[in-house]
Amino acid sequence: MRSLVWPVCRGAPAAYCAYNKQLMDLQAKLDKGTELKNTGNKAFTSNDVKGALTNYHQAIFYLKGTENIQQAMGGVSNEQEDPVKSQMKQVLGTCYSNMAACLLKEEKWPRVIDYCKKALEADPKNKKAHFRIAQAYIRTGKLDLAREELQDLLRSDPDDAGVKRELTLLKEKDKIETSKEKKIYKNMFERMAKQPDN
Amino acid sequence: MVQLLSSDNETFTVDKQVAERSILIKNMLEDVGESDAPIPLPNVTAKILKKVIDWCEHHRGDPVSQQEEINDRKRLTEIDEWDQKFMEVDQETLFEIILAANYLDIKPLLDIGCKTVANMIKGKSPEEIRRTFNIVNDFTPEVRQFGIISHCYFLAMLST
Repeated sequence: MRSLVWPVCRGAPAAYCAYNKQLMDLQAKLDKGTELKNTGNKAFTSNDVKGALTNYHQAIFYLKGTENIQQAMGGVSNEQEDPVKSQMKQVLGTCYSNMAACLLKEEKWPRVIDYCKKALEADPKNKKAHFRIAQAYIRTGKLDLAREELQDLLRSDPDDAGVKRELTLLKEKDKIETSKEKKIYKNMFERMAKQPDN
Repeated sequence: MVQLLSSDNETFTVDKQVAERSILIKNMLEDVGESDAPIPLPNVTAKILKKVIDWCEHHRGDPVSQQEEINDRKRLTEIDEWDQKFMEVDQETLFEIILAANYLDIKPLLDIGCKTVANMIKGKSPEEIRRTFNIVNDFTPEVRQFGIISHCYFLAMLST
C-alpha cells in the first residue's frame, strides 16, 4: 500500500502549490472578467453599443485561455472541470452572446454568427444565442440553417413573438428565392427556344 | 501603432498590421477602434509575447489563409525553414507559444506549434514519448500540456 501511495505524495506538494497558485490567479481573472461583463451590460442597457463592446472584449482577455488545446480544437477532453474554470467558461459564453447582440445592432452578420457559435460552445442551450444566429443566417441568405434554428426555438416556446416574426421574414425570403429561381429557368428555356435546331 | 501589455506588465508597441495577425485583437480593433490605452493580455508573459510578436512581424504580409484541405499526408507535419528555426526553443517555451497562439487566435502559428510537437512524437514508442515530455503519471496538474501532446499525437499518427 505504502509503495502505491508514496510516489504520488512525494511529488505532490510543489506541484500542487503551483496548481493552487494557478487557481487563485484564475479566481482573480474570473472576478475581473465578471466585473467587466457587468459594466458592459450596463453600457448596453443605456444604448452605448461601443462602450458595451469595449468592456466585453476586455472581459474576454481575462476569461479566455483556460480551456486545454483539445477542447480549443473542437476535440473531446476527459479533463475534470474545475469549478472556477467552468464558471469562467459560463461568463465567457455570456460575453460572446451579448457581443452578438451588439453586432446585431451594427448589422455585422458574419461576426454575429461567429460569436453565437462561441456562445453555444460554452452553453448549447443558450436560447438567445440560437435566436441571434438565426437572425444572422436569414440576413446572410443561409435560409435552411435559419429554418432549423427557428423551428427548434418554436418547439420549445410556441408563443414567442420574436421567433414568429423571424419565421414570417424567412417565408418572405423563401418566396423571393423561389421567384428568382423561376426567372432563371424561364430565361434559360426562352434562350433555348430561340436557338435554331441543328 | 498598437500597444500590448503582457501579464508581467511589460508594454510592447507594434504595427497595427502585425497585431492584427491575432484574430482576438483584430476583432477588438474592428469593433472599438484604436485607442492609446494598451491592450491587456493577462494570459501571456513578456517572454512569450516577444516571441509571438517576432513571428507576426515575419509573417505580417502573409495572405489570410483559407482553410485548405490537405490531402497529402506528409504535408500535415511539414514546416518551412524559418518557422523550424523559430521553433527551436526549450519544451516549456514551445508549449507556452502554442497556448498563446491559441489564446490570441493565431491559427497558422498554432498549426506550426502542433506540427513541431507532432514531429517530436513521430516514430517514438509510448514509453519514449513519456520520457521525451517528462510525463510522470496521469495525475500531473499540467493537464493542459498533456492535452497538447495527445492532440499532436493524433497529428503524428495521421501523417505517418
